[in-house]
Amino acid sequence: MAAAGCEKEKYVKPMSDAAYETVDRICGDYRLMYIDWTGGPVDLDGDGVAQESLLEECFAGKHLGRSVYDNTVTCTVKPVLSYKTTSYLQVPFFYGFNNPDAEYLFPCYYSLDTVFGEMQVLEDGSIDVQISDYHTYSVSLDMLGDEDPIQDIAITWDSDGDLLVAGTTTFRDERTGKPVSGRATHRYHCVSTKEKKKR
Amino acid sequence: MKRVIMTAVLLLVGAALWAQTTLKSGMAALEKKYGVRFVYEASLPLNGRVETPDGTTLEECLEQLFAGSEIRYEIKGKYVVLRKVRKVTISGHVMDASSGETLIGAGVFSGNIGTVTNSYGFYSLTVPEGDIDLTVSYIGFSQKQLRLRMEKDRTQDFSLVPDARIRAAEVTGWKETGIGATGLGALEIPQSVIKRAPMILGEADVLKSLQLLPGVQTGSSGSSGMYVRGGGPDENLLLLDGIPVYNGEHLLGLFSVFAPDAVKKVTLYKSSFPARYGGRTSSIVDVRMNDGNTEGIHGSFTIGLLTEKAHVEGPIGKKSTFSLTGRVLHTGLVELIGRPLGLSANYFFYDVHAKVSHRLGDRDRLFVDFYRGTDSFRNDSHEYRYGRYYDTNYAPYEKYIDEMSQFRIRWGNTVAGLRWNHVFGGQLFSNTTLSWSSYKSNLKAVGEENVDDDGFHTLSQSDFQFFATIGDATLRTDFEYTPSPDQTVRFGAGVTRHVFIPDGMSLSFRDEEEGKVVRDTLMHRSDGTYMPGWEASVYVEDEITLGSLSLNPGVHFDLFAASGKTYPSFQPRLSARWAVTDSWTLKAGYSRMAQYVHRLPFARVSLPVDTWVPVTDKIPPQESDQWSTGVYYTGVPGWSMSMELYYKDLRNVLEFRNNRLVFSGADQWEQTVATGVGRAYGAEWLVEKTTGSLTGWLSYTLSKSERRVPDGTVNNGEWFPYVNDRRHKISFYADYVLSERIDFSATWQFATGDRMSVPTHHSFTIGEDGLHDQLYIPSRNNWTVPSTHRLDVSVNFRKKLARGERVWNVGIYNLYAARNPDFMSYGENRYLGVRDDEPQYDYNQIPEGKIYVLKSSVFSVLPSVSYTRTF
Amino acid sequence: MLASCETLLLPDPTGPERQIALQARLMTTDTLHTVYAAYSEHDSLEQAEDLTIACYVNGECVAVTSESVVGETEKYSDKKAQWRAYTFRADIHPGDSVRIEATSPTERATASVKAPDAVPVPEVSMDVIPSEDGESYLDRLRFRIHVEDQPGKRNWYRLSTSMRRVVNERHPAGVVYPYYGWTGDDSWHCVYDRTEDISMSNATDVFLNPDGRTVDKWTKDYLANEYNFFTDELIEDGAVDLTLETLADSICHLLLSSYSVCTYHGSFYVYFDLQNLSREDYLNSRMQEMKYLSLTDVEFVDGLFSEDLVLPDNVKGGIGLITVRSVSRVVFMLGEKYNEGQADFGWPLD
Repeated sequence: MAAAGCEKEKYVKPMSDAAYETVDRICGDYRLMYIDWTGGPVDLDGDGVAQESLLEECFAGKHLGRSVYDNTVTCTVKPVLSYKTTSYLQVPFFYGFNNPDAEYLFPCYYSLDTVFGEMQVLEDGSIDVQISDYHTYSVSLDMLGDEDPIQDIAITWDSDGDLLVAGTTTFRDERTGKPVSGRATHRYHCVSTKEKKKR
Repeated sequence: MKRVIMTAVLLLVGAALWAQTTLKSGMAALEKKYGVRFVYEASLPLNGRVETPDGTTLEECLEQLFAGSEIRYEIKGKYVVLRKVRKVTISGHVMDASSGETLIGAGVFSGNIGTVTNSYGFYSLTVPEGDIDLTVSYIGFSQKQLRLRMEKDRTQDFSLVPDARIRAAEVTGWKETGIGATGLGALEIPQSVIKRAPMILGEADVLKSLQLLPGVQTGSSGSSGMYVRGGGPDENLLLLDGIPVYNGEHLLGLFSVFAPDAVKKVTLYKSSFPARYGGRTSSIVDVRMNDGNTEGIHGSFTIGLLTEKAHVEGPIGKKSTFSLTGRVLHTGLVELIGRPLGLSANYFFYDVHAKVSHRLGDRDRLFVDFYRGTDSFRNDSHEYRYGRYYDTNYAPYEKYIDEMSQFRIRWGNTVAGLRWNHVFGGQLFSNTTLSWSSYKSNLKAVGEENVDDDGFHTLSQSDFQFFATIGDATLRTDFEYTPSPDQTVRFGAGVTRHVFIPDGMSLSFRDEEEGKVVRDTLMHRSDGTYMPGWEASVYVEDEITLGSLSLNPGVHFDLFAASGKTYPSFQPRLSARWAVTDSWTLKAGYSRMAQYVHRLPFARVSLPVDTWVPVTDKIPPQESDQWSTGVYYTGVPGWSMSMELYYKDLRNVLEFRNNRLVFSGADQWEQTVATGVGRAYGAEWLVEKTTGSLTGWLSYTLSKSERRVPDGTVNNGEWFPYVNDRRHKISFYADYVLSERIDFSATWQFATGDRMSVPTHHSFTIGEDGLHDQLYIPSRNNWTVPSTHRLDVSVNFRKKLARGERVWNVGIYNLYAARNPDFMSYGENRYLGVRDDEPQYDYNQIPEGKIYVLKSSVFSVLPSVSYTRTF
Repeated sequence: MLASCETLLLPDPTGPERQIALQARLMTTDTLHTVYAAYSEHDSLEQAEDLTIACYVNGECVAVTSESVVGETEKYSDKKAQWRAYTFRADIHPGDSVRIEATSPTERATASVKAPDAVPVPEVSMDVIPSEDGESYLDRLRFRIHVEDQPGKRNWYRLSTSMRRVVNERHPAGVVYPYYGWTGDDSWHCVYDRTEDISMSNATDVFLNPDGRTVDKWTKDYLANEYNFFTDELIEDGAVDLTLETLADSICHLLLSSYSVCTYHGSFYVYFDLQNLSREDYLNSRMQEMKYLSLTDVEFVDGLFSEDLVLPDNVKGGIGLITVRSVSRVVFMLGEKYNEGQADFGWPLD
């Protein structure tokens, strides 16, 4: 009796090899490594020091009182097994907001929330991402104002396999008290080892 | 003047008195005249007045003297010995001269008195001693006449020569069925009709031909499920040479298990059940098989569009005969039927019937019967699947799955019997049968999954089986006592051990990893709930003729024990026949019947996985009482007309409450059914032409049948139409013999539709998990399905050969392509426009939400061709 | 020649063009009752916004309402519900005669029912069954419910279970959280109080699920008595002990977003409602439950493999079923737990 898998031509694979190669590469757990900011150094936490690295500025954490907060921001990209399956992307994104009409009781004008997208893999191995209109904000909408605090969201992968999530947002620089706009590109690096376990 | 008159009167009286004399004085006168002496026993009845003998010789005078009395004389020299006329019995078998096959229902007559042969071809006639002229006749055979001198009991067999021109009217005498019989509601199908009536795909079929009779309805256009006078398909007792057969159908009822070549006679009893029958409430189908040809090896084989049949019979030595029949379905052609029915892959069935008969002596015959039929359906699949998955490290793994599955359903009957006929002294005939009948259905699903999981090989095997069996072992003896031509007494007794196993199940798994067995377990095995039952029955019936009145009273008594409970049943039977004039006959009858087994159907259509279950301590036996009456007219030669009325009362019928659970245990099925009552009544008209080259019949049935479940769990406890309540039925059958080489037959059937429940409104309901849309059905079986009608024709081209005959049969089933409702279902239009998956429906025509009924017609015009060669 | 041919037939529907359809399941433990109503027509179910629903208890009119809202949608369906919910306040006690009357400008439908007699409150006791792995969060809870049957008449029951979890949060004095709008003052606030469905298994109960132990796994799901209906037909000696089991963690495990500075208190209850039903109510529920055990596609009941449902009906002048259930409730407190800094509870509660 021939062992299964011997006559591999009989097995019809749902996706092409190129597509599988892409999925293998991009699926896994990611960790936020760096946020690329085009608006120049800003001081977000009010300590008087302006830094290029938004990560350093945002993670003071003291003002938001949330116990789950620490330095590690992660997201996961689940693998897809067919062309029709979509993988739901939920990527944390730092953004700022500045609604002049709102009454603020405290000096904190930024938050970490999730950006939603759907990903599909195509036959040639390329990735198709659709950004959802749907967002959740943990900050109340009165404070955010009428405009979306994150604009022109784009999710891509670069040649190193890093997940890049970019969006235009406006932070408030505490040194000047003025809003600073720019494009924040969050760079997530895959931390899954992708090593097969021993049986 | 007075004196003259007185003298004249005296002379006249004297003359009259002189003309009449007593027997004794007549004898005394002869003694004187001829000088003889009469010798006789004192007990001899010698009173009575006779005409004075005026013959010229002693013999003439003696003839006149004793004419019409029961006294015989014998001249021995000077003495005339007188004795009472004795009754003697002549008995024997009537056979077909060409094959040696016994003939059932053949008439044996002497003057006004006569009888018919019984199911074994045996007759017994008691006549006064002396010379008798016997006439023996049977449909399709030349009459035979024989003069015999009867002095003591004797055995006389008759062989009749076939003559196809002899039709019914030329046969004299009574018959077991039809107008001449005492019982009404019994109809016989002659073998010629079984073999020639066109049926589906040209396959002649015993049970299908019964559907041409009045009072017999069918479920849907192809199936042979029989609903007789408002009763269900499990209420018919099918007897193969007296042995009950549980499932008479192959392939969803398209074929019955009786291959026509082996069948001798089929009788259907719809009412006035003779006391010797019991066990079902609606009908008895008594099928008698051929014994075997005594004259030489003969047979036939047929190749048709669907089946191949072979039949051979002949003598074994001088005292025995055999008959062997086989039939098998062309497996390849099954696909044609299989695809529209939604089945896929292989299906076949076969039947084998064998019978051996042995003549132990003049008085004893032995028969051995064996029947086996099996249907087998198999669906194999072999799939190759590729799977991919990721572990927690998101490492990819590839899985190659080689999956094989085999699905098989087999079902079939096995019947075996040993019978012994014994004749005690001419007037008493007995038949003792020891038999075994079983019906088994078996479903098997075997799966094997051979997996290469990233180089790690595993093998998983699973085996699921579901089986159900019903088996009967019976010992039975029947006696027929014919003390006089006017009376036949039948009595007998039997005992049956039933075994039901409705729910055997076994589930086992075997797993291997890298070639090593990791698990080999029998997960669940239930040999099934073993439900035994005992049935004992005893009966006595008497058939008496008093002038133009015949009566057949009888009593059948059953005792059924199962599940710790015993059910006795006392069933009186009575039928009466009054020959008002030569042409007009009236009949009436009453029967009570009881039934101890039920067939739980899986679906609206009969399926082989239907389960047979016995009565239990919670489900009592089903009973029926039927009253029927009929009037018959045979005044026009070659025609017979009849009308029958019936009323049937049913108790303890089973109705499903809702949903049928598949594979549920035996203790579950009792909860899914409720017992109810039923009533059915109707009128049947039958007009038959029995002579000439064109014969046939036309029948019309008007009937109604309804049910009610008093405990309210079905239809709120109100009367509702039985699923097979078909109001009108018309059957037409015609057979035309153009010449010895060509004959045609045609049938046309029409019946109004059966019933189904169809919703009328949209509604909603509260379930435990919230509110649901629900279609509202006001009452069960509220809608009548469209009528069914069909014309089938067939023609035979015969050619006689040096040995035997060859026949080409060409037929067309459903000649004008009527679209009959074979499967019905309802739905609600939830879509607008054309559905992608069912482009043939354009729902634009009907508004959204509209409730529709889908009628599926499977069988359109079906031509058929077959070749038969007899030898 | 053997091609299957299908024809679409439109049967002439019998019955009125439009009639009121009413459904209600009234509980004696509720004060707020809902009667669902719609217009039932041949081709559709229509919203009935113009009805007046009146409720009579023991002959006296206790509530009248003409206000209605759209009823809750069917589970797993995105179709808008066509039935409307009419709500009213009334006290219904066991043994009361209840009559619901629905009038529209042109139709009138009524249904009269009698609330079943009260049932003695069952006794509930609990055992903890430690898991085989030694992991305490896999422990199972086994409840024994002792039910006393009412003698002398046939009763139909349902044992319904639900769970209630209450979580309170205490804001410590001296902490100011203007972002979320509060200042701590050592007071307790309720952050969670919900009564929800709970999944209890009756697989070990021979009375409720006789086949649970003997039938193989894949058939068991079909035959399990999911809603724990039972009748007193098989109750011997006037009382029966029922056994239900559930995973302890399924009740206790609750994760809410929380503040590291607050203290959390969780209390967990299991409600056992012994409902006494009328026969029609029992048949109605069981028939629907059995419907989903058939092998057919539920959307397309074809009458080939299943008998059609003719459900019980007690509305005169319309269609539908109005029933009253007499409920005896046992509130079983499972336990309570205090946590610092996180609202993450789980079993064991100690």
